[in-house]
Amino acid sequence: MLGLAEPFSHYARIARKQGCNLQTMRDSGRLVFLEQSQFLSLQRNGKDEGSSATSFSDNPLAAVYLKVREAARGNMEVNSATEGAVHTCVMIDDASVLDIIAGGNHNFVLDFLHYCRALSVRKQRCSVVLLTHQDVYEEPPAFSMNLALEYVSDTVVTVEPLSTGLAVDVHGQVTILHRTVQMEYQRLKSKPRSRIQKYQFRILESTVQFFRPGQL
Amino acid sequence: MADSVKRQIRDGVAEGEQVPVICLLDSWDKAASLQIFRHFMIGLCDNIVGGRAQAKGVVTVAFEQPVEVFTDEVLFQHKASSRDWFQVIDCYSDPLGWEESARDEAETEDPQPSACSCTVRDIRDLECLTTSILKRGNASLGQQTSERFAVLFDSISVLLRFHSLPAVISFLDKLRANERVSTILFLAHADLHEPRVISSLEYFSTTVISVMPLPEVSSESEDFDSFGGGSLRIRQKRRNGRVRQQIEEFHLGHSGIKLFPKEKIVPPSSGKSNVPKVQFNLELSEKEREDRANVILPFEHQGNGSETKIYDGRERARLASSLPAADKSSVHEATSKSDTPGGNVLGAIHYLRDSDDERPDSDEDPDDDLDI
Repeated sequence: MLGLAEPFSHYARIARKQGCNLQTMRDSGRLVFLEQSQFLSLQRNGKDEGSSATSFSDNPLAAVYLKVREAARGNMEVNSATEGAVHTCVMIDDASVLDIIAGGNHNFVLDFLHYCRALSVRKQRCSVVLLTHQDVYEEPPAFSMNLALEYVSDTVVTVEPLSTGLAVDVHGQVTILHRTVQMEYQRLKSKPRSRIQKYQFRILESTVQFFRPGQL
Repeated sequence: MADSVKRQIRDGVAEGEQVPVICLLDSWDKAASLQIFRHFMIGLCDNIVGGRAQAKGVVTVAFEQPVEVFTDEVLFQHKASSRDWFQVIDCYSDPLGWEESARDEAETEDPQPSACSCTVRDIRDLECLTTSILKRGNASLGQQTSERFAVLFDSISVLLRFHSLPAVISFLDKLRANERVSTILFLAHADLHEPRVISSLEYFSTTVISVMPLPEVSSESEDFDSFGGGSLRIRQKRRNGRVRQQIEEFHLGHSGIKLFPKEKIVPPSSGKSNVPKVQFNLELSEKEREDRANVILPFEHQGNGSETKIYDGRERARLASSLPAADKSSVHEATSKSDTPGGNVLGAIHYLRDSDDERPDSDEDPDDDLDI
């Protein structure tokens, strides 16, 4: 997990509310948490030396990628001792901070995300979960960034407030858009998901309740 | 029409002509465009196996999808026979050489390069990319060195991120000029680039296929087989200088992609109602429908034999036309009299209907005949 926006305690607190102890997972090595401060210091070191962050690329995110890669591979070793199949998930919160690390160069961010997608652990591709803010990229020089990020992803989940304004019972709506046809569906002849799903949600004390529009 | 594109890919280059370049432009709807790309790829592979195609080998350059997406599909269909003639260049797993340099440091095992794929470590070097494409192409031909091969790019958009437009075009042009190349097919994301870039690509290519997704409403339906669909606009530049354009619909289903001409399309919701699913009844039963048809609306002629009179503001005008010509002047006199204040004639309202000025077909679009 790449926690760029918040400190570990924040995620731990949220996870505990939902009945998941991140601290134990971290101790057992199943969760690797990379904090923003590590990368900023990396970047600073690179600048102090007057050279790029890594020897092979002028992209400061290359160093971040190497950390992620190292973490994923290390993770595999821990897991392989316990279970057979391993599946690694890289979570990034949030991508606009990557932008800052990359010095505002969107190409660098896209390169980094590409590598995260292509990262494979023991011939098994990792999945990437990425949080970003749509409105950060609304200004003209960056407007294609949103689209580029959407091209990178297989599923786009958009969270937005109700278009009709605030409501007591409904806090907002979630649109899930599946962008790729899963090949397994064709092979297995199972029922494919519908392409666009819309739900409304309500934030409760410790969880979020999702329901179809109008079915509260 | 899509069949004609398939034929074009199959037939390749004609004597004394340029190598056909097929450009597949999509906007945002990646699922569909990748399916269409694979549709053409599989079509070409079938033709190669059947010996009908001019190309004897295929080189697929994978920028945006893992190599397995392509190899699995082809191996699945053609089993062992594809080993040699189907080559993939992997620009996906390590396009900038980060992995390679990390491997030097970390000393991990080197994955065995498989027989039908190779990895390009730096896509910023177009020369190197060209060389590997040609090398792989020759490998795909095996012994038949005088034959040609097809080159497929899964997305040129990645290249456009690293290179200027002239560089990319000249890269494609070099491939096109090569005498071993039979066809070039590439995919581009139209909405990621400036219009200028897209039109340059369109000028460069022989055939342009634009993928247009269907309006959201129809793709939202939870129909079993309607995972998505849309239309293709295919524009082919013919050898005689003509341009042929046709629009074709496609449908993504279980068995891959189905293409059919636009006229023949039956909307997936036909036979069913378009009424949204709600708890109360919006449909009419047969009896209700009949009853509704029997209701006489207040403005309708009630059927008592008399002529229907609907006031249209021209009562006076009709009166005038029904009178003999001589009397018309008297009507005018009467009106002018009524205008004078203090006259004995009862007051009258003068009303000139606006619509009288307009031509009878005024509700039509006046710009309808313009050919824009």
